[in-house]
Amino acid sequence: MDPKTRRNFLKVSGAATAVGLAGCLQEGGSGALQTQYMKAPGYEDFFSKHTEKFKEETGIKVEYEFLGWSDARQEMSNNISAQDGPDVQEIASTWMPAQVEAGGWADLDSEEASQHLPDKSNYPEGALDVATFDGQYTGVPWFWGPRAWQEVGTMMDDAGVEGSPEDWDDLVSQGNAYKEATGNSDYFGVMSGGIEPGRNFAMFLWQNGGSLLNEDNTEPAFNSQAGVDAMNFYKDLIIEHEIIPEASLEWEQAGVQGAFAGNQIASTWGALGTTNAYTDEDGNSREDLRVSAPPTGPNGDQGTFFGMELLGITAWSDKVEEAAQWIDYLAQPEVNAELADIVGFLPPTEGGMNTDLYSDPFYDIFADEVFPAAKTYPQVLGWSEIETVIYETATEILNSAVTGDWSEGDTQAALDDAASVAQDALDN
Amino acid sequence: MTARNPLPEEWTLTEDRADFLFDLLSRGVLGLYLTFALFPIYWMLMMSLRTRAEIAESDPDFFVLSTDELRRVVLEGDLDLLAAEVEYENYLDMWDQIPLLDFYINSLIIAGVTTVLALVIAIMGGYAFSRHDFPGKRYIGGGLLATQMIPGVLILFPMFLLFIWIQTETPFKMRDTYHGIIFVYTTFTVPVAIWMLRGFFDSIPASMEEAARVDGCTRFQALYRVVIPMAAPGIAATGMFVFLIAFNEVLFASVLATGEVMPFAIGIRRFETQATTYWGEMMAASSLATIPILLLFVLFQQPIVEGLTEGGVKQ
Amino acid sequence: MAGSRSVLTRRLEGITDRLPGVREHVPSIGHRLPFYRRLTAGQQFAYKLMAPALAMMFVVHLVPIVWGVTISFMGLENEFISRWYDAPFVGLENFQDTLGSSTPVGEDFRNSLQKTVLFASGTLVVTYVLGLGAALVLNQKFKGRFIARTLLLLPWVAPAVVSLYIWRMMFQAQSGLINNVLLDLGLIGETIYWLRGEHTMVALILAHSWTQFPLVMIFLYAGLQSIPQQLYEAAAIDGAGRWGKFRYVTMPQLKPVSAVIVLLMFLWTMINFTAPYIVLGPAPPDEAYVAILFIENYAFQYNAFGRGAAMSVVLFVLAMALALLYYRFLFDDETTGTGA
Repeated sequence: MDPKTRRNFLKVSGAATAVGLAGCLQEGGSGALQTQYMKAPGYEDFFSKHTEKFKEETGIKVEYEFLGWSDARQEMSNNISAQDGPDVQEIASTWMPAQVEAGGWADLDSEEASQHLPDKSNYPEGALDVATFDGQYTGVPWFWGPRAWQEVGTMMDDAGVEGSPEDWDDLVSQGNAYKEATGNSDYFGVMSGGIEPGRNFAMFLWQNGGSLLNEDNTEPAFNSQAGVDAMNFYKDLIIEHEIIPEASLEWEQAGVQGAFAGNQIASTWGALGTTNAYTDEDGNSREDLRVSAPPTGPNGDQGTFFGMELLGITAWSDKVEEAAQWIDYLAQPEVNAELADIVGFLPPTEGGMNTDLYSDPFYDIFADEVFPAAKTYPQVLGWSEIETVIYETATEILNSAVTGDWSEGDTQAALDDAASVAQDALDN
Repeated sequence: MTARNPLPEEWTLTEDRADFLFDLLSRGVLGLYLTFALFPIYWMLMMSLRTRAEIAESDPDFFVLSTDELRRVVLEGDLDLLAAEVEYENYLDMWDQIPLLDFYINSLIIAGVTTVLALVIAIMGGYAFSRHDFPGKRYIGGGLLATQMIPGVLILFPMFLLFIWIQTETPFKMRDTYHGIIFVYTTFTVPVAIWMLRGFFDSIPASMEEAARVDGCTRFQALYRVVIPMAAPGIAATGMFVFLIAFNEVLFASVLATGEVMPFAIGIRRFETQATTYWGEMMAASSLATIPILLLFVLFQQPIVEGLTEGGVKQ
Repeated sequence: MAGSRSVLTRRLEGITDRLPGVREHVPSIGHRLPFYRRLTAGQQFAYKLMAPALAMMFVVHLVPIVWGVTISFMGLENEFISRWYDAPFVGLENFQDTLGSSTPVGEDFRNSLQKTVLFASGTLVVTYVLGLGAALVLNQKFKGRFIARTLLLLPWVAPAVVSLYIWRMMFQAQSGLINNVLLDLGLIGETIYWLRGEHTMVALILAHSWTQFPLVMIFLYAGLQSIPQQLYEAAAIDGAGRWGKFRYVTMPQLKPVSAVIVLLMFLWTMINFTAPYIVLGPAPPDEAYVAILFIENYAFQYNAFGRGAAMSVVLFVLAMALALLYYRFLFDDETTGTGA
């Protein structure tokens, strides 16, 4: 080919390649603050409204995106590997330790961040315990929900039972009385499908004075006698006392809320979402419900599980100050309360609880009686493996009991096995 | 049978009778095969037209209407019942639940471009293998076969790290882009495509190209003007093969193509939520994706199947 | 070339004439290599044709494999995922942990390897039997034969992701069709938990085989079609009946094709991720927890990529070893070699 045509050809192909490659280039960054949250209904309206307001107040543009729970963990992990992704993100408390170790979250005690973030004294200790891992203050508590004892007052009254049992003995005797009066074994229905048996086991364990791990989180402690008794009590409620229906073994959140709202069970443990599910159902009203703290066990005090979501700034973000300002905005009592209400949880601050949305005395019970008893999983590395083995073990024990395969000593053995796996996870 | 034996004492298997029985058996077996092959597709369509409650029923009907309803529709002309029972809402709702349109488009782009690129590269490679003997051919050929044994998980994380490295060192974004995943898929399908196309090229006598070269074509022109048209069925078959592989891939897509370029294969998982699985909508979305592909295949199956059957015996 | 030369053809010609490198007498980069200069023009052409494919394979196959093997010797765990190069070298520790029988991951992994071989073998048998049967039926001459052939190919054409979900839906314990039909027909007494219990592997093999058997069918069909008629006639003369013809003509003639498709099916199933992922869902039961799914879940859930890489290497080696064994077995036989 002669030089001239070759030159022409190269010019043309060069231009074409350049245009093509340009499409492959990275965006320079739109300059807006990138934020991500777990998907929930009602978020779209909330965020479009508030990012608008925030922009008016501060001039900072905020973009938001929602992740499904099934994709979220992998996505966040990939972001951490790549050190690239949004600036502000919702933190799931149980994933936090691993993500902090991998270098995913920024230290909120840093100068840039702390000058804009809300004061830590706004938040109760329990919440801050969850928000701090390995000495690093990682997330600002966003909303939380402890599980209360909830019952349908009318169903209890009809059966001539007092309701709101104070301790385990009370629970059993009331349950039996209910069974006699109504002939049904649905006095109490706690969800036992999916990963829930682990949470229920934790609750019974705490009520019985036990704990999941030892003081400094280096050894498992759930296979103690308190733990064995707690697990056995749980299983006996289903098979011996028959005051929990067997169907509950398949229930997860949707199942138990459906059953409770449909009056198929008289009581349950649940957070605010359960209350809302009940009141949403036609023919029910919140007046029917009575709420109290869960019963205490023979050896301990009250104990109930709470879940919490936090907001954090990602380690790679170069807009730390703007991010902190946005989080501060979301933490304002009115805004915080609005969001908590949408998602069916409670704001973690007194200010939030004092807003109009939560002025109903119904919420006071949650604040005054249930919160003091609320505990959650320890924030420690390797917890996800331990959580998995605990709920798998609990499920196995329940299943074997229901199929009639359980015998004395099985619970201790199973819990000991789980403890060795847990020890393994803690050591690594 | 003769008059002496009005009834034979034993029924003998004459050749005619054997043939008849065998034919009967063949047809029966064929019927079973067809049912086996086609029933799931039929079922997908049926389920796409049902409500959540109907799907959860323990005793589903084989057709959208139960026998009673069928009787009323056909015999009594109760068309309202037909309209009521055929739950086409799934086809409307499914677009809102997940960004289904985006998923479809992404899959088309990814699989389509991969097919074109892979064919171009593999035609060149397959031709080289078919017509030329070059040093290292055996090793390269072995290498091609070895790629079929690589578990995706082995190269998945390094590939991810490679993407990140490219992203940080060069101005090219790789993660969650079309070109990133297309590059990966093209490379995955090229070895198989080369292997298949080599077989097809082998069946075309080299004399045609030689004649073309005598006429003044360059090697390259000989390739694309003579060989490619003759190998068109084989190329079509290979193309479909590549398209299907790219369309169905989930492992690499789940890590490298999340976000905006998420394809249908990954996106459809979203119908499985924590609470429940939306089978109805999922089947509707699946039907919409599958039926066109099946129809296209049925219409254009001639060259493709020809290609498959020809290439099958070539080693 | 004879034939009309339209404007388009001439234009295309013009373009290809200018493509650098594919004209033999234009000196190209390769000419700097002494090795390259010594090749014939044809061979140089071949290399140029192979170049893009080889380059891509280098980047996507070779580099990641070497990288992956390297990682398998490193303790690449959660804290290093954003800086893999800082992870310490741990020698064979990852291999010991994942293959040993004293660690939970080791037990699980070995179980998964067993299940993988089981899955691959099972699929192989089922698809071969189904494929062979279908090919034999299609080999007969009857009306509508080509339509049947097309229809029987549909399971393979339908996107696997979709098909596997359909099977998953049908295997549901309560609402699934399969249990309902089996119960109605009285073939089983109580519901079988297809996707959770001891029959999970059966469900997985069946669903996967449904998508794959047409491919086997079409390969074998092509093989059948190419068997010369004289062989059958010769057999008939020798007194062979239907079964005899099948045994002494058909099967031996199919051996080369069978050999290839059997190997391919086995290898592809051993590393198939899509089928178990979709059929088994997010919580696969031990009975069908095949290696590739296990490795992916384990590595990405715990960010344990060092161990994940080690396990992948083991799986790879296992696949290669089985393939080599297979070749050895094949060459010991009288049959013609397949010769890649």
